[in-house]
This record gives sequence, structure tokens and C-alpha cells, in this order.
Amino acid sequence: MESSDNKKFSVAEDETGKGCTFAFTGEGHTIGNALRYLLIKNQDVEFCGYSVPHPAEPVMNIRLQTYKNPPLETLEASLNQLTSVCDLLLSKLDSKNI
Amino acid sequence: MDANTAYLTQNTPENVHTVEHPLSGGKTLEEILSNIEMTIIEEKEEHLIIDLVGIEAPIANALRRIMLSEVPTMAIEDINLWQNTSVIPDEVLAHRIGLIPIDADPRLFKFKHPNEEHSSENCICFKLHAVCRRLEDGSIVGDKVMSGDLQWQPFPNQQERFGHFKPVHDDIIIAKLGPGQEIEAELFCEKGIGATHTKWSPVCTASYRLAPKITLKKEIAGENAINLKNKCPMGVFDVKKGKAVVKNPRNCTSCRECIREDDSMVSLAKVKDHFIFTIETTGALSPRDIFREAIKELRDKAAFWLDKINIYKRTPKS
Ligand code: SF4
Repeated sequence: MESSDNKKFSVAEDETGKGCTFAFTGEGHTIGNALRYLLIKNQDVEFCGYSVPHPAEPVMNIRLQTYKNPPLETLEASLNQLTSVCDLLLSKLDSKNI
Repeated sequence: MDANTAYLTQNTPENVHTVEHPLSGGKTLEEILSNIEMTIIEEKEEHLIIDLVGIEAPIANALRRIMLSEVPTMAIEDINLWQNTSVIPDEVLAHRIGLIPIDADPRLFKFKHPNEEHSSENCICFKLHAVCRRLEDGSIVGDKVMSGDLQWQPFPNQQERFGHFKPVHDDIIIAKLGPGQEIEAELFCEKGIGATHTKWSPVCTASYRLAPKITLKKEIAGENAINLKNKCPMGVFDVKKGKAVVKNPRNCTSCRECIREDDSMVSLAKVKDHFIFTIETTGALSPRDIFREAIKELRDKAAFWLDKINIYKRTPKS
């Protein structure tokens, strides 16, 4: 990544431990919407939304509330799912009979 | 109405919403993953049309956005302008030169850190020296400065490792000179991404549209069939044995001419999970490589943030 040193991850956790706002510095709609979409598919997720608060600031926030599991783990699971979606697409693209 | 189809009517599009949440009727991730289909419809040197069926918009859109602005290429970033007596101001000339697509595989190079030196690992250097002269017989030579005039200045052992670098096209006019005018410059290409400046975007355009689904609501024969065929500017319909048929649904541009006067014959619709990607390259990477790099870039992003989360988990909280 070009500017990987300006990328930061931070978490603002609710007192209940069931809700979190994650801030991704250096990201935008590209991964924000994709992650929101994958999180929504998770049955344990009560609420998920993302926003880019200001277009001139390179920050993307994901708000995540879950029923059971800690939100951070749920987020990790979704990132892993995103990796497997990409792997699947890559294998389709490189398969012979396309 | 089919949940997976959006309809175009005389007045409005209908049934356009998508449902993502599994409890509201959306598909689960497993269902989606087991049904993804990818088909290459047309592959040329400069463009690619590829069908992605079964995915949903957020993933398709992430890929499109990455192709536009996050797949790296090489572009001219620094210029030492030794001489410019042409009518084009220095900064305009530098900007024009920056936009010339360079035929070099960006995967061979590293990103240049701002306080790093230019080297064989992160840079391609070109020289440009153009002089315009009036010959004795009155004719003028060298009045056009073309992208083909860029001369590659290899760094030590670049030539052995990479072969040859040049602009993708030799016939881009950079400047026009009058007799006696001169441009002399040294140009340094760096690796970068389209988010920083469009000159690094690997695509002329990358877009997707939903696949049109066109059906005839009833049998159309005789004069009506011929009228329908003539109505469509894109040649979607044809007449076979006196009856109208849908011949090229993919040509449809959704102009709605065929339902403007009478919507009882044709049903115009879009398949909501069928994305037709069109990728046009600027020439450095093949369109298929751009698509592949975009998928890899998305995967790398996910891996990158997983890594960051791990670091976050390991740092003690105050
Ligand atoms: S919408 Fe326009 S392009 Fe599409 S089938 Fe009708 S007339 Fe042809």
C-alpha cells in the first residue's frame, strides 16, 4: 500500500461491550460498504452501519452492535470472509473454463 | 414480481430495492459464494467485458472503485526541465507530460518513499530533447514533440532485468515548437495510485451495469413486429417468420423507446445480481490483469486491517 504508515485503526467501545465504533483512518467507501454488507449477513449482528464523516478527512467509521459475540471478533470474522470472497473470485478468474 | 428483477416502466423504475439482510429475505453469504459465476464475454488487448453473476453491489462496487483508483501503475511524477522556450508554460507542459501512459509493469517496481532517492527499484527515467529548426530550403523539422521522442535512460542493470520501457503510444503530441524553440527535460516515473492523481489510474474507464432482461409480453406478429424492430435504435429486436423476437438483449441502453407509446408489448427489466463489467485499459496492464489486481488489492486491504486489529489487540489498553 502506498501510504500504509498513515493508516490507523482505533476502537470506541460501549460500556456494555456489545457495541463498538471502529475508526479506519486511510479508508473510504470502498471497503466501508463491502464490510458493512458482510457484517449485515452475520446473524449475530444487531446493527451495522458505516460512514465517511467528511469527504476531506480520510476516516471511515463502522458502527457495530452484536447480540452475543464481542464486536471486534465479529469484525475480524467479516474481514476473513472478505478475504475468502476475493480468493474465490481470483480462482474463478484464473480457472481455465471462463 | 420477481425479487431479483427491477422493471422499467413508462414512468418509473419499479421493484428496484435490494434486500441484503438474511432475515428479511436476503441471501446468506454461503448461498452467494456457492453461486458466483464469472464469464468473459469479450477480451481484446485494450478492453474486457466480463459478467459477474450472483454477487451483490457492495462487492462489485468495491472492485470497480479499486480498479479506478487503487491499482498502481507507473507515471511521470518528477521533471527536471532544463530548457523550455516553447509557448507552453512550464507547469502546463509538465502536467501534459505527466499524463502520458507508460508501458511498464508496475508490479516490477516499488513505491518510492518521499525521502528516498530515485533508483532502479522505484523509478524509470526518460530524457526528452526536442529542437525545432528551419532548414536551408525553408522547410521546418522537429515542430512536433511527440511521446515517441521520450528516450529511456536505464538505471544500472535495469535493461538486463526489465528489457525495454517506452510510452504506450508514440503518437501523442506533447507540444508544438516554432523554429529555434527547444525543450529539454529529464523525466522520472514513479509508482502511484489513481487516488493520488488520475495519471496513475490503470483504466480509461471501468464500469458496470446490470444485465438487461427483455421479454415480449405477448406474441407480436406482422406489421407490429416490423414496427417494433424499427423502433429500437440498438437492434435489440428482430423479426423471424413474421414474429418479433428478442435478439440482442445486451445491446439495450434502456432508452425506453420501445415502451414509450405502448407498453403492452415489451417488458424491460434488469437482473439485479448480474453485473456486466467493462474495463478499458490505458495500456500498461492488460484489462484482465487490472481486474485480477483489483481483487488482490481488496484481499490485501482485508489482510492489512486484520493485521492492524491484531496489533491493536496486543497493545495494552490504558
Ligand atoms: S429500451 Fe431502447 S434500446 Fe432497449 S430494447 Fe427498448 S428501444 Fe431498444
